[in-house]
Order: sequence, then C-alpha cells, then structure tokens
Amino acid sequence: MRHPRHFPVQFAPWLTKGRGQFIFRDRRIRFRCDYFPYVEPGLDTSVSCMLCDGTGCRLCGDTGWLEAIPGGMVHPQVLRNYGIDPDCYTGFAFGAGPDRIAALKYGIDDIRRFYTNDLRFLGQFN
Amino acid sequence: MRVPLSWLQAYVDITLPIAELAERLTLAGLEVASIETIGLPGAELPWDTDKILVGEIVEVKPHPNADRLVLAVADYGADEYETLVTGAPNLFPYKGQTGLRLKIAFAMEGASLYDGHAEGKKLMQLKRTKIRGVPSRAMACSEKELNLGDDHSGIILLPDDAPAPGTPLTDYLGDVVLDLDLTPNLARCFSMVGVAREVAALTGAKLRLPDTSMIAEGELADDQVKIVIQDPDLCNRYSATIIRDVTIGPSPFWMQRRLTMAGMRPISNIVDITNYVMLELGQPLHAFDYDLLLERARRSGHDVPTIIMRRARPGERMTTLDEVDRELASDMLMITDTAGPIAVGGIMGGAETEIHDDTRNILLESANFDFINNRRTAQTLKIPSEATARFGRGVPASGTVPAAQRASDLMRTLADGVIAEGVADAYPVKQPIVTVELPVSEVERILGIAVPQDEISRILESLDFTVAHSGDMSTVTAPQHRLDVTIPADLIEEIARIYGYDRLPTTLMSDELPPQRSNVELEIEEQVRDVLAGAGLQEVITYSLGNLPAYAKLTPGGPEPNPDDYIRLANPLTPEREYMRRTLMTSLLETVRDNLRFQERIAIFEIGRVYWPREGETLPEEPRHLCIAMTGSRTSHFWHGGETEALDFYDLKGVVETLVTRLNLANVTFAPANHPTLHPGRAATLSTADADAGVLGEVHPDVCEAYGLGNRRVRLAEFNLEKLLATSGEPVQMTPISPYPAVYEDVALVVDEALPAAEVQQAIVTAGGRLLCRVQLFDVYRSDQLPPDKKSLAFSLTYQAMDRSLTSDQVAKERQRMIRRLERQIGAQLRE
Repeated sequence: MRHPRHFPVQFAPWLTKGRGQFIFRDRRIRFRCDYFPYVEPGLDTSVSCMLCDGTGCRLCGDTGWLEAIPGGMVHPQVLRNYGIDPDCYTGFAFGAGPDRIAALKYGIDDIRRFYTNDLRFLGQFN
Repeated sequence: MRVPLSWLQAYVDITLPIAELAERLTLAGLEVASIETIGLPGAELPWDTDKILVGEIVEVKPHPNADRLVLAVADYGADEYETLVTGAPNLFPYKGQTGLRLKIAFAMEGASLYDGHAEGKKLMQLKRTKIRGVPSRAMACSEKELNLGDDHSGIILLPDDAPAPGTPLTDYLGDVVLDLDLTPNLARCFSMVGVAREVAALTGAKLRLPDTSMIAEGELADDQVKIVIQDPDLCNRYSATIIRDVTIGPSPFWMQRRLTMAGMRPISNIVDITNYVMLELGQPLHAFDYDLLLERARRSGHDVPTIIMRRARPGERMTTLDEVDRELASDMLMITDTAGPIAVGGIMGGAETEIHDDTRNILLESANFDFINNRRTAQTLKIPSEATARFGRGVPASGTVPAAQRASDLMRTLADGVIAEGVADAYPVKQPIVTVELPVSEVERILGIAVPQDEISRILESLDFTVAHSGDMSTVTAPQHRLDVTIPADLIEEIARIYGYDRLPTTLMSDELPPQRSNVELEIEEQVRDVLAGAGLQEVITYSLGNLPAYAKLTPGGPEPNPDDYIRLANPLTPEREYMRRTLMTSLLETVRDNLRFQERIAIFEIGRVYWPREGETLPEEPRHLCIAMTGSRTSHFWHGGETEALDFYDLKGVVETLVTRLNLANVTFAPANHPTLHPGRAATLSTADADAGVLGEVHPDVCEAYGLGNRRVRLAEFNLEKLLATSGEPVQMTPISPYPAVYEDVALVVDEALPAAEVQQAIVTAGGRLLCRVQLFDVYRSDQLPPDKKSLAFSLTYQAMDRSLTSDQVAKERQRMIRRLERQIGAQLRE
C-alpha cells in the first residue's frame, strides 16, 4: 500500500542549512524565492559572500550574497511525467554544481579554472 | 530592469528604507542585483548639499576678452548673484538678454565633480580661478560633471518648474535606481506598475494605477484604418489609435529623465512616449507615420491603410529602422499593409514608415504576439530589444487598449495631438480567464504550515487575485496580467513568497530513508583516482569538445580525420569546440604543452568519456577512458644533490603496474605495440584476459612537434577503463606462507635481443617447477662479448617448499631441469 510522503518546503532550511553549514562553516545562509523550471515553489539558498563577508564587492555584485543551492518543490507536472501521482506524493528538490560549491568554498575567482588545467591552480588543492 | 525610485513612487509609496525594500523584493523573488545612487549620499559621486544647488540664470552677457565665452549672472538663493564664466553653446542664443529664467545645476567652489574634459570619470574639486581675465568661482554643470550621463556638449537646462534657486540639487534630481534581475517567470514585472504592485503587496502600501483614459476629439479611428489578422495563432490581438496634427519635438524634462534613469535614450516626444508607456505598463507600442501609410495604401488602390498581420512570404525583404535590409523567413510574423511589410511584429519597425521630424499624423500600434515565435524570430534576426524582452516572455492581450489610450493621451498633452475617436481593435483569440481551485489543505501539504483562509485571501487579493471561499476550498481567479498562474502550486508559491520564506519554520525529516545502494562503477573509478594521485599524479578535467585539426595532430603525415567518425555539434559556439573527442590524448598533450610554460615536470591523468558514433544508431558509444601523460625529470631538483634523470617509459609502466596491483587486476600482460601516436619500439599494449585494454609508450617525435612540444620526450598512456577494470573486484585471496627457509639463486640467461623480458620471465615461471616461487629480473646486459643480436638477462630466483627445508642438491636439480627446458623452448643459454 502506498504511504504518502510529504516533503513540505520547511524541510528546505533543514536540509540545505545542514549541508550548507557542513560546506560553508561560519558563513551565513539565507533562503529566498527564486525561479527554476522544474520546481514550484522555487527556493534558492544563498551564502554570504566570502570575499567581502556580506558588505558588498565585485564578486557578489555588491549584494553581499552568492546563490549557492537552487531547489524547491518538484513541479506536479514533472512528477506526473515520471508516473508519480502528485496528489499522493510531493517531492523536494535541491542540488548544486560541485564546481560552483567548490568555487564558493575555496574562494576561487573564476569557475573556468577547473577546466583550463593550469597546474599552478590545481596544485594548490592537495 | 532598472527601476528609478523617483518614478516608482508615482505608483506606490515607499515606506521602507531602501536597503530593506531591496531585501524584501529579493527574498520574494525579484532579485535586486544592484542599487545605484545618484547624487544622494552613498552615490559614486555624491552632490554636496551646500555646494550643488538649483540655480537660475537671469542675464547672459558677452565675455569681454573671449568670443567663445559668455558671462551668466546666476541666482543661487544667496543675497548676491554670482557671475559664471562658461563656453556652453546652448547659452549663446541668449547673449545680451536680461530678465531670463533659465534654471541650471549650479556648483560653487569646493564642490566635487567629474572633470567634463577628461576621458572617463576623473574626480576634481571646483576651484576659484580666472578665465580670460574674469574671476570665476562657480559654474553651471553638464550631465557628465554630475555623473548624470555622458553629455558634455552643453550645460543642463532644467525645466521652468524646477525648484527655487538655492534648493540642493539632491532634492530635485537625487535618485536611487534598483537594478532588478528578473527571472523568466516574472514577465509581469518588466514595468514600473508591475514592480509597484509587488512593492504594494509586500509592504501593505496602496497601488496607484496611472489614468488610462483618453480625450478624443477627432473622427472615428475605425474609419481611418482597417485591421486584418490573417495568422491569429501568431498575433492574437491588434489595437490601434490615430493621433493627428502632432508637433515633433523633444519630450519634457521629467519624461526624459525617467527614461534615462531607466536606461533608455530620449529621442523625440512621440518615440519617447511609446517607450515611456512600455516601461510604465509593460506593453510595447509602435508609432507609424500615418501619412506614409496612406500613401502606400493609395499606391495599391485603397482609400485607407489596411494593416494585415501575416507570416512573411518566401523571398520577402524589409529594411528595418536600423537601416539593415533583412531577408524574412516564412515563420516570422510581419505587420504589413497592402503594399508590403511595414514592421517585424513585436520586434522592430520598418524604416519606410517610421516617425521623422515632419511627421504630423500617427498610427499607434498596441498589439500582442505569440511569445515563443517572437523570441525565436528575434534570435534569428539577432535583434534583441526592449519590446521583445517583454513579448518574448509573455504580455497579456488585455493590456493593449489601456496602453494605447494612455500613450495617445500623452501625445495629446505633450505633442498637441488630436486623438481620433475610439480604438480600432481586432481581437480574434480572447485571453481566457483563469480560475484555480485551491484547497486549504493543499497549502498546508506543500508548505507544512496551516495558513488561515483569511490570510490566504489577504495575500492573493493584494496581488489582484479575487478569492471566494466555500468550506475548505478557495476559488481563485487570476488577474489578466498573470499569465503564469494556472495550477494550485503557482498560487502556493505566491502565498509562500509574500508570507515570507524566512518565516517558514524549519522541520526535521521524520521519515526513514530508503536503504542506500552502492555504485560499484563509481567506487572503482574513485579508487583509480586515489591510486594515481597517491602515485604523485595530478588529475585534470578537459573539455569533451575539440576540433579536427587538433585531433589530426595525433597522426601527423597520416590521413585527415574523417568528420563522419565524430559526433558533431550542430551549433558550435566556436569552431575550436565543434567535434566530440574520440580520445583523451589530444587534450592531455595540449595541457602538458600549456603547463610547460610554468613548470618543467608534469605528471597528469584524466578519467573521462570519449564518444564514438555508431552506425545506424542515434546515440554514440561512450566508454570511459583513462589517459596518463608524463614528462620532465623524475624528481624535482633537490638540495641533497645528485643527477635528476628524466621520467622514462619504465616510470610510466611503473605507474600502470601500481594501478594493476592496487586494484588487484588479474591476467594483465604487456606486449610490444604499434600505435601511430607512439614511438615504434617504445610502445606497449596492455591486455586483461586477452582483451586489448590500451597502450602506453613514448610519444612519437612528429606528434610532439605537431603539438608544440618541440623535442621533449613525453610518455603517454590511454586505456579503456571498462576493459582495464574488467577483472577487478575480486578480493585478494591469501596465499599460504611457508615456515621453512628458502634458497636464493641468481641465473643469467643469454637470449635473442628481440625476445621481451616478460616472455623470458613467463617461460622461467612455467619451466621452473613447483618449488620456484619468485622470479625477479635485476639486470639487462649487452656487450660486444656476447654474440651479435643477443642480450643477457639476470634473474634472482627463490625456491621454497611448504612442507620441508630444501637441500642444495634438490634445488640444483630443479635449476638444471629448468635451464634445459628454457634452452628448448626459447633458445636461452646459461651465461657462465
């Protein structure tokens, strides 16, 4: 028998805060409404800018925050497309590109560095 | 989108400090990317409130010592007037006049401004000086000097209704502009009213919509233009008004300023009004010269212009108002008349019918277009514009008539126009009214908190939804401007974001997680990485896309790569990244080359997929490959001294053998190989269980040359990871250890030069008998003393039994038997 699974938006802060704090230690985290095609409501988890600690700089566009983890409640049509009844199940989605998270955590100024393979860059992370 | 608060305030009161307003908007989904302050404290160039003021020129006199300069007597609110010395050309017409009331931006000595004559922005302080003999300690500023714009061709002339002389300029022109980064679902916020509505919903302030009525005095619009929509799937509404007897001129200061602050350039009153209303209400408009349309109509035998919305015909062309002659495709929606195309619908008007300085009569278009088609056409023609930024995201058809009326009435008040009666309107496909049934329980199911029904109503009504309750069910009707709301989840997002995501409590997940299964493929891949990194190599990740000339370098002098052997990208961003790789060697050699600029010793590897198209199939084969490249000295220069030798083939082989050992791969054999990229005689294949898994060796000098590696010696290996790891996964099984002593012997064998040592070793193992438990090659000797084409291989042998100690006689017998067998099998001779 199907057991309804509920993942209300409230899990978002717990899940992402937990992961976020694990990755980002003492940086601040905030949640805001955002838009991504496969979720509704959408949720963005932002982390305080590591360069300026939230005061505003070029990296964060003077806002003090960097978007880190997109997510939200899975759009009911997406669930339907995969044969899951949205009236029975809800789903919570979140995810982030490891390159972006690594860039945020280690203060890397340009994400393309991961692919240009300058050994002077790669060699710093042993 | 740039939102100047001075403009936004016309539609909603700003009751919060700016930083807090920006934060609330951002948290609710309207991301404020930046806040630009003009003139006010915190601005890039703040205007000193004591020194930069509104002034008024009362008299302009010629300069006694210079023809190109004038003296302007200015009232700046002090007891005495100040005489300014200026070369501003826009004051010359007033030379010799008194009793003037020209309002200016006045700056007193000590004011910080940008230097109008410098390149870019250079800060300077206004100092007391003499200009051609006349003392000067104040000035009238240009746009550039105040950081209001780039213009330094003349001084700013403020409108007559600017505040009294002496008022700090910040009070009049100081502003804050919010730059909003709007996601695709926020089409409704691409207008001042749209943003104002959000601010009202978030702060509880009241929204003030602009008056969209028009005072018409002319003949019926329907008698002066006909509208035909031939392709209603691409254009579902076309509304038009007619305004006669306009006078083209500059638009008023307040409109120019709002447009400039919002990022658009003022051009002339009519064009500015269309842009202004587009920014205000979000409905793009276009103005045609009505007389030119009438001329075209008469040319084709009609009395009045007929505007026809249709797809372009094959071969049709049109010159857009940026003077570019464009070829049109058959899926482009064109605004045409009986003589041909007059505009690309919702994107750009045609040059032939555009407004010009002598235009007297206007046909004003306010229409709606299919958003996907509009976006695609804009991309094909490469014409991004403010209009298609809006149409391309979806504009409600219900907005055409109010916007047309608003703009027409502005043309009446600002350009003396006479508006024709009524709006000509063709509306074949009506915008549906959307109703959504929202159970209160659904809100709780998704958000996890029980939002009371009246709170739901309050939030949705503040966004212009209408809500009716019936028990637990709310029937919500979406306002016409909300094209994005169709299902309960959409409403729940509205409720959550206005309620405040930050107010949602956090909960722990109280359910059980399903049992986790391991991903063996990934785990082994990680093991490979760990082993190689542990061996001192650096992992790299290179791009999967490359180009044929780069791949061709792997086989210099060979045939050109066949494009059919590669997966090709249909729309590459650059020709360098057009074909998917079939091997990792190219990008690894390029990485070696690029890093040789900075370091001498390089040892890298990559694990990545390669792509081989399959005959008759859409999807390619995508095996994982492992590629290793090494060059340079074996160790870095060390203070301890000693020669540092170069990394050679055996270093590479050592790394590969380490991998084999650590992953416990069985049945691995090496054999000499022939590979076009590798130096013949210095290449080997690796096989597992008789399947060829890859090659290793020294890169052919021609290949090194082709990749710009000069005469460097580079070792390269590439393996198919699936084949290499085919025999992994079995745990090591312990072999018994004998408690009895072993006997150690060395033997040197003279064999043919061409015989690989591995084969000789294998032969010894086979011929050596049960008691031989270890064979190790420790010397390779070549000299003239040996017969020609022969070499001597020295092996140390270990004999041991599990159940007894061995005597030297027993070992000698085994050894002699082995040597006889070796003589027979591989022609080996014992070296004395």
